[in-house]
Amino acid sequence: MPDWLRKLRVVLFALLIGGVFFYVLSLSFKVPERMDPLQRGVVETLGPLLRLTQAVGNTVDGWLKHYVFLRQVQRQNEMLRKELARLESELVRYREAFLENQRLRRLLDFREGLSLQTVPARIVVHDATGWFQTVMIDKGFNDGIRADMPVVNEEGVVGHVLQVSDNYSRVLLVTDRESAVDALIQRNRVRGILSGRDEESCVLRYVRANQDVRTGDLVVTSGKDGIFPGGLRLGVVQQVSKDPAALFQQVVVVPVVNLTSVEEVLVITSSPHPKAPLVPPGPHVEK
Amino acid sequence: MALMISKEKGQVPWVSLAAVGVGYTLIVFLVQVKVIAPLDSPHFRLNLMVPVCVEIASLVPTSGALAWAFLWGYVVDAFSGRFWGGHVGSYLFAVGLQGFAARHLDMGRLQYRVLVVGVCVVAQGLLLAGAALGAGRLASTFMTILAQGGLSLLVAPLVMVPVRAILGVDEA
Repeated sequence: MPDWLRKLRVVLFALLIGGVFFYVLSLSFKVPERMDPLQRGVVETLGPLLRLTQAVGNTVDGWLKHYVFLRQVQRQNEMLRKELARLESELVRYREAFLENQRLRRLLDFREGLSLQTVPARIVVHDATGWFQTVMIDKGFNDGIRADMPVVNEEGVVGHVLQVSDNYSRVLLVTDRESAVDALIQRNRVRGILSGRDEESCVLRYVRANQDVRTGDLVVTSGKDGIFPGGLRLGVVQQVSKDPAALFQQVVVVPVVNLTSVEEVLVITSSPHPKAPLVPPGPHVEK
Repeated sequence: MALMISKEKGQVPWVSLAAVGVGYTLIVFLVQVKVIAPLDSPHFRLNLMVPVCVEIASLVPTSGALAWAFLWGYVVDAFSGRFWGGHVGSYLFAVGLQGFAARHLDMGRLQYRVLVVGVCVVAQGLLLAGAALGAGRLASTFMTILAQGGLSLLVAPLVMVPVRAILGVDEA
């Protein structure tokens, strides 16, 4: 560097700083419509880079936000799933309660129309091994239940009490082989004894071969066996077979009560007496 | 038969025996009553108590196995129809058959014990079906009883293995 320049460098540096200062200061006083060439050069050069940087920043920011958002969504999703599962189980409970309510309402209506003393009971367990047609109910001696009391629900006859414990009773279903109910065909009052055949059907015994029994006939209790009141629905005739050589015809009856799914029953505690049929006489029921 | 006692050098593991004889059996009984018995198809209505009975008969002294058969046979009978004694009888039969088989076969092997379960299930099915449905309808339920026996062969190990696990006896 020449000597003169070295001597003047302080002055030159001060002039440069002052120039820049005055230039910047001058920008504040005049606002031209267009930037001056220097500014434009800077802006136009760095503008795309800044735009690119901003775009990249936005993209990265978007990714981050999406990631955070997705994490939140994932958390929300898990929460909502749990909530959904909880609500679904609650819905199932409500549905169960609703169905139980409907069943109990029907049972209550039936009970009020029965004009007999009854004790409502719940079936605790069906036969432990599935071979016998018996159930346990949650009412026993302490509730006024005694052996041979009829057990019904709003659909018809379920069975009768076989044995009682203090708080539980064993009920023999109408489908049991040992069950015997004095019954009659509602349409023409043909009598027979209804016994169990298998878990889904019964047989109406001692119906003479010359008597008129048709498929679809409704079978009701006669009220003459000393256990069941008259006119309670028992079942519908499913099959009639006659052997010319036999004295009696074979009548297969399907119980009106679905005994495998019944849950609530009524035990009739007042002694039965012959009375008007509970089922109004009408045309035979087809099933 | 006295495998338990010899293993423990004369000390009877009462806690394990109670866990099997009461706790585990109670669980199996509840599964039987609440899950198996209500099944729609009678072919699947196995008696899960029979495998427990055979396994207990193979592990504990005869007196203990007989006590178990009386106790739990009575319980099952109390919840099974009007035919009291059918299950007591069939569980006693299972204990007896297990004892008889143990004199001729190596009952430490699971296959033999499972076979005894199958025979007992069929015998019990014949007895109970005869009582419930009458001898006249026994023929029509024979296939059901055979199916139950066959299915028992498959299911029995699942019921039997935990008994040995609780008692701490290794499979031979």
